[in-house]
Order: sequence, then C-alpha cells, then structure tokens
Amino acid sequence: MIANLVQLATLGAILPAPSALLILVVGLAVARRLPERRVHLLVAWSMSIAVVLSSAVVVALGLGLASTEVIDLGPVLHLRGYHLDLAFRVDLPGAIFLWLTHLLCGLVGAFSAQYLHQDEGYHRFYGLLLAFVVGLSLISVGAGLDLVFAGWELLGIASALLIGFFHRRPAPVHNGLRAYAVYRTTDVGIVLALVLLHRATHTASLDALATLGGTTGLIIAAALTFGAMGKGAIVPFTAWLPRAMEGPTPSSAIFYGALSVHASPFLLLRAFPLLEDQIEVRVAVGLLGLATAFHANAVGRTQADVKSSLGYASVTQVGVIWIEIALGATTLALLHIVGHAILRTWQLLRAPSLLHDRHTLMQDLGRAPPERGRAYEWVLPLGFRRWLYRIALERWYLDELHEGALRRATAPFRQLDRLDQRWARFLDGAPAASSSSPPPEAQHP
Amino acid sequence: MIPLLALALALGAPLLGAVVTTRVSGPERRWAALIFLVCSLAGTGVAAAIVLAGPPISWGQGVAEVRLGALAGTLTPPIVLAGIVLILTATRRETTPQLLSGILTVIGMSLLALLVSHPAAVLAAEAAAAAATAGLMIREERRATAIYLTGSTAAFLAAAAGALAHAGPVTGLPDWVVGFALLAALLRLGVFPLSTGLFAAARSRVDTVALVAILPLGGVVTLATVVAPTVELGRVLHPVTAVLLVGAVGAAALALVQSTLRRSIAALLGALYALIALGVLDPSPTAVIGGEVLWAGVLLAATGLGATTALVEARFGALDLREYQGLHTVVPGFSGAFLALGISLTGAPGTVDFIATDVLLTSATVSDTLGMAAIAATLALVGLNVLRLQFRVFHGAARPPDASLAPKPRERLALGLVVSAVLLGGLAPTLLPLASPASTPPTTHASVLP
Repeated sequence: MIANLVQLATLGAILPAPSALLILVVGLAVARRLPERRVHLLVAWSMSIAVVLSSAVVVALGLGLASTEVIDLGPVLHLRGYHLDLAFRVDLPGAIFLWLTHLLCGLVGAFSAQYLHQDEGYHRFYGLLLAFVVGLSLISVGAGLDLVFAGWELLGIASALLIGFFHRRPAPVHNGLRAYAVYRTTDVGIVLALVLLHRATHTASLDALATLGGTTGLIIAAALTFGAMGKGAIVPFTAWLPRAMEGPTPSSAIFYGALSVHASPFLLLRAFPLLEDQIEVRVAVGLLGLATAFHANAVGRTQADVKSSLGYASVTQVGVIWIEIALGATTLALLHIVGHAILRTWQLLRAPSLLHDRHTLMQDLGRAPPERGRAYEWVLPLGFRRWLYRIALERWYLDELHEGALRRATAPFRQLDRLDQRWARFLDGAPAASSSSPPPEAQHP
Repeated sequence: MIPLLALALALGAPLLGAVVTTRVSGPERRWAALIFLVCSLAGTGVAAAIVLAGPPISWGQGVAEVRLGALAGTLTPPIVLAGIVLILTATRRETTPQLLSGILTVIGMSLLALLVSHPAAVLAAEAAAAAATAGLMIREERRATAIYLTGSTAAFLAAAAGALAHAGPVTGLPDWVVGFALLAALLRLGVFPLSTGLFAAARSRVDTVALVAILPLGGVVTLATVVAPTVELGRVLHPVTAVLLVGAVGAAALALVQSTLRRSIAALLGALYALIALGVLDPSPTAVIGGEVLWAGVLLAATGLGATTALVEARFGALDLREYQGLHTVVPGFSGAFLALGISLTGAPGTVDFIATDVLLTSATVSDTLGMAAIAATLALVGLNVLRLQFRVFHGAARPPDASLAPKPRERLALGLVVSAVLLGGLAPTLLPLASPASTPPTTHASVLP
C-alpha cells in the first residue's frame, strides 16, 4: 500500500513541470501573450504540488516505510535488441534531489515574479525554468542512462539559453555559447558510456552499472566522469561558470549555485555502484576535485564582483564534494549537496543587496566586520603568494588554453573550407576571389 | 484494393501535378501544386496506416514490382510533407511553372524509389529525381551543384543498367554496379568529401531551388536497398564506414568555421547525412531502423530549418555570422522555429531524432569504440553549431520591429506543420511503421529491406 503511494507521489511530483511547460507553450502559441500573474500562478502551483509530494516520498523512504521502487510506465520504443522504457527509480538520493529541485526552483520562481516583472523575457524565463525542472527530474529519478541523458541534454540547452537571456548584449550571448560548448564537449563522455553500457549489458538501466567490471567498467566509469566534468565546472572546464553569471540573478542562483552544478556530483553518486570498484577512476575523481577546489578557491579570491566570487565558491565546494565521493563518503556528499545548494541559492539571491547587507551588519556591529581568509598569508611565502595571485587573476590562463586549442583544431578545417570554395568557384566558372576581399557569401546584398 | 488506390494516389498525384502546374497561370499555380501534394499526402498516410497494421504488400514482378513496406510507410509522408513546406514557403517570384513542376517531379520520383523493389527500378527512379534536381540547378545557373548532380545521375544510370542486365538476386550484383550506386548516393547526398555540390547549392542564396538540392530527397534508398544488402562487410564496408565517419566529423567541423549562415547550414546537414548513411549501411537491422528513422527526422527538420533560413534571407539578405544580427525582436516567430527545428536536428529529447540517434548509437555494430566516439563528437559539434547559428542570427542588439516582415499565414502553416511532425515522431515513435511492433523489421543485412 505504502509502496503504491510512494510511486503515485513520485509520479505526482514529476508530472507538474512538464504539464505546466506544455500549458505555457500552447498558451503562448494561441494567445501570443499571457498575463504575468497567470504564468506565475501556473509555475507556483506546479512547484508547490511537486514539493509537497516529493517531501512525502523523502519522508517515507527516509523512515524506512518504503524501499527503493521502480516505476515502469512501459516502453516508449521496443525493437529487437533495443528498448527505451519510461521508467523511474525512486530511491532516497533521487527523491532528495527531486525534492531539492522543486523546492529551490519554486522559491526562485516566486522571487522572479518580482525580479523580472515587466521584463520582455518574463515568459521566456519561466519556460526555460520549467524545461530546467523537467531535465533535472529526469536526472534525479531516471532509471536508465538514456533517460538521464535526455534530462542532461535538456539541462544544457536551458542553461545556455538562460545565460544568454539578456540577448541584446553580445557578452551574455557569447558566454552562453561558451558554456554550451563545454557541455557538448563533455557530453561525448556520457554518450560513450551509454553506448558501451548498452553493448555490455543490452540495457541502459543504471542498475546494470553494478554488474560491470574489468576494462569495460573502467572505460564506462572514466567516460561518465568526463561527462560529469562539464556541468560541474571541474578543472580544466571551470572558466564558463563565472561567465554564466551574466544571466538573471535567479537563474544564476539555481543553475550555477544550486542545482545544475550539483548535477555533476549527483551523476557520480548515481554511478557509484560502478565507481566503487574502479580505484583508478576514483583516484582521478579525487585529484580532479582537489585541483578544482584549489583552483577555484585561489581564483575566487581575486574576483571583483560578488556573483563571480560566489560562482567560484560554488565550484570550490563542488570540488570538495568530488573528493568526498572519491573517498566513498556518499552520504556525506549528498548532505553536502543539499546544504550547499540551499546556502548558495540564498547567497546568490541576496547578491544584489550585498552592499545594503554589509552596511546593516556594520551598523549592528558598530564597526567593520573582521577580515577573513588570511590563512594563505600565514602559510605561504610572499613570493609564492604573488605568483599565485598573478595566475589566479588570469584564471590560470584556462581561457587562453581553450582558445588556443580551438584555434589549432579548427585551422585545418578553415584551410579545407578555402580549398572547397576555390574548387566551387572553378566549377562555377567564377573569377577567383582576391585574398583581401571577403568571399561573396559574406557580403550583404 | 485500398492499398493499391492509396499508392496510386500517393505516386500519381505529384507526377500528374508536375504536368498540370505548367499549364496553370498566376498565383493559382502554387495552390494547384499544393492540392496535388495534399492528395499525395493523404495517399501516403493511408499507406502508412496499412503498413502499421500488417505485413508488407507487393504487386507485380521483376522490374515492375511495387512493394509497400515499413520503409516506404515511414518515409513517404515526410517526403511529401517536405514538398508541401517547400511550396508553401516559396516566394511569389519563385513559383514559376518550372520550379513547381521540378519539385513535384523530384517528390514523385523519390516516392517511386521507395515503392519499387527491383534495384534497377530503384536506381532509375533515383536517377530521374537527381536529373530533375540537376535541371533546376542548370536553369538557375548553379553550375557546381549541377555538375555534381549530373555526375550523380550518370552514376545512378550506369548502376541501373548494370542491375537490369544482372539476372539474379540483389545480393549477387557485380561490384562495379554496387560501386556506382554507392558513388551516386554519396554524390546526391553531398557527404564530405563529395560535398562541394551541396555547399555550393547555397552559395549565392538559400532559396527553394537550393533547398531541393540540399535536402536528402535521394540517395538513402539506394544505400538501404541496393548497397547494404550486397556490400561485403570486411572487404568494403569497413573502409566505407571509415570514410563516412571522417566525413561526418569533417563536415560538422567545417560547419563551425563558416562565416555565412547558408554554408554553415549546408555543412551541418552534410554531417548528418553521413550519419544516416552509416546507419543504413550497418549490419545490425536495428541500427538500420535507426538510420532510416534518422533520415525521416533529419528530412523534416532540415526542410523546416532550410525554409526558415530561406525566409529570413529573403527578408534580410545574406547573413554574416561574424556579427550578431539581432533578428529576434523583428521576427520572433522565425527565431522560435529555427531554435525548435535546430535542436531537433541535434537529437533533443522529445523529438524523433533523439529516438533515432539513441537507436543508432546503441545498436550500430560496424564501428568500434573510436567510431562511436566519432559519431558522438559529430552530434556534439552539430548541436554546438545549431546554437551558434541561433545566437548569431537572432540575438544581439535589437532591430526595430517591423510588422511587414512578420511570417505570412502560409509560412506559419508550413513551419507549424513541420515542427508538429518532428514532435509527434519523438513523443509517439510507435506511429512510425519502421518502429512499430506490428510491422515486419528488416531481417538480415544481406537481404532486401522491406
């Protein structure tokens, strides 16, 4: 009985977001413009219902009233040797992440009703927020890696579009594309893991990860780790995160403070039955976490704006969570995710009021608050501190590294393209273009 | 009787329309062409429903055999829908008798290639479609594309002659026939490095004529029904697969370095066509289904994306990707359609291409891990390029709104149809005969596909 209720409650928690998204899209297509209040109420109600139901699921699983459940809604597609099932795995970590998603997105939705009031992108923001929630729901409780990947992709698209939310300025748009480039690069790892899992076990079920071993298990574990690096802003893929702060503060709060950045360690938690026996990969996870924590802590200290500073602080904590997972402390890692997500959401939402908060604090204290973070000065010699400051200011030259790699990688293709255009002009019987003039395609009529 | 009538309607309507539209004058010409295509769509819809419900049906024998199977049931509606979208979105100046007749001929011949069984008949139909497309290119003075399409036509005809002379099962076709068929198909599709014709089609402008050459209306059927059953796995397929993998990654990378929207779209599609070819040539029947469903999804999304690009360029001229164009505030409808169709090309969840790429990736057997990584890298690059195009074209400093540039009702209808089709295929994939449990799946690699 309780098991059935848990399943129903989980479905009840998953369904509101996609339903609200469908209503919003159809409503906008039909009415062209929906009142802000109506959109806000739609999102508020759907998040509220989901929070209540997911809380019930967490309580039931946490108190041992129910155990891990698999909800199989049947096949989406079934061919010989392939099946895609709409199945959800409801266990305690998944239920907690589902609850956290809806709680924080609901709070941010409520915050945004005022923050984005009369903004031209008001409806666009809520549409992307709902798409984000759908993506995270699939990641939280998807029973198969293919469903998890579907959510992962949705998350990436929604993230990129929200970073570029203020699309009239080139910088946010450029940064959105930059973040998406990192996501797509590392998503290759997850795709590879999905393919290899299917070949080894003829299923995409996450439960099958525990049965893997040997070289196949090692490669899949490494591929999943690589796939998780992008969204977690793990070194060397850190540079996109502070740039992502160009988006609206509410999206910065939930995406890069709270949820999207924690999808990375959550994926590792989901894959831990496989990682547990892959010592080499766990060592790599720990080292990457350590490098990320050190890098982000150092760079964060040189930031001149509060959102970038908080962004790097988030990455520092994600690095620490990766270390916890590498050490096998999965429960600690999950608690760390929850606590950090809530704290960082609050901090990022308060960021626009930073100066006001500081003045209030000074008034209450009667003096300036004490300076903190001087541990480096006690431990490190001056020369080393200056060198560290210099490279931290340049964000460890990761941007230059990426841009240089991209330039070198695309150079042969630019040459190929010039050859192709020359060949096409020859076939067309057109005169050869001079090197100083742009090709005809690039000129406006 | 009903299946035969449905097929007659599906096939006869565009071919009859190709003749009738040359005799209609004025704006009624567009609507006449549309009526014929809508009748054809009805016929293909009925045929698809018949295939969904039961086994394949065939009539006739030998060269004249016509077969209604899962492949035809799945692909004929998208091909006709592509034709409808092209005609709806063509500008008034473009709706000449020659263009409309050309489009209807290409659609009709593409349908014929899907419905006939004998390799010679398939190759001859493909040759006719390629020739009709080449004719359009010659008329529009797009020589480079015309040369490639003429080459493709010649290769199709040579292969057809060889297949006609061969008296035996398709699996026994001589190597040179299969070689010409493979070459013809890759030239028609524009798979890198044979892609100059594809890229050059959009060189001067992306318009309806360019789209007829760019869209994958031909080539895949030859790969699926003539090349795949005959090519030897070890001796030929692996080298071909290697070329296609390199072609896929190469075209996707080429798309990223383009500075114009038109060439970037062409290169992006070229990468996806290489993936389609990889799928239909795979020994695994399930991967073949993935490749064929990917063909249907890419055809629909590419038609919509290409039509959106053509409509935007018709209003704003050639778009330089080195600057942000800021068109979102001027034409928000096109921005939304471009985004929806673009991300569906990348296999976004909820679209038919997500299902297709998932099936293809997890079922393909001909490629090793490195090959799978190349396919994943191609999809990653395609996705990145789509968003780059979206941002460069529609984002940036806003231009003043202009109501005269808003999509016309027929353009809205066209884009709405194709977006709906893409989403329907993704959310209810069992409606596709190829993916339906009731339809007969391809049996083995070395047999004729349904």
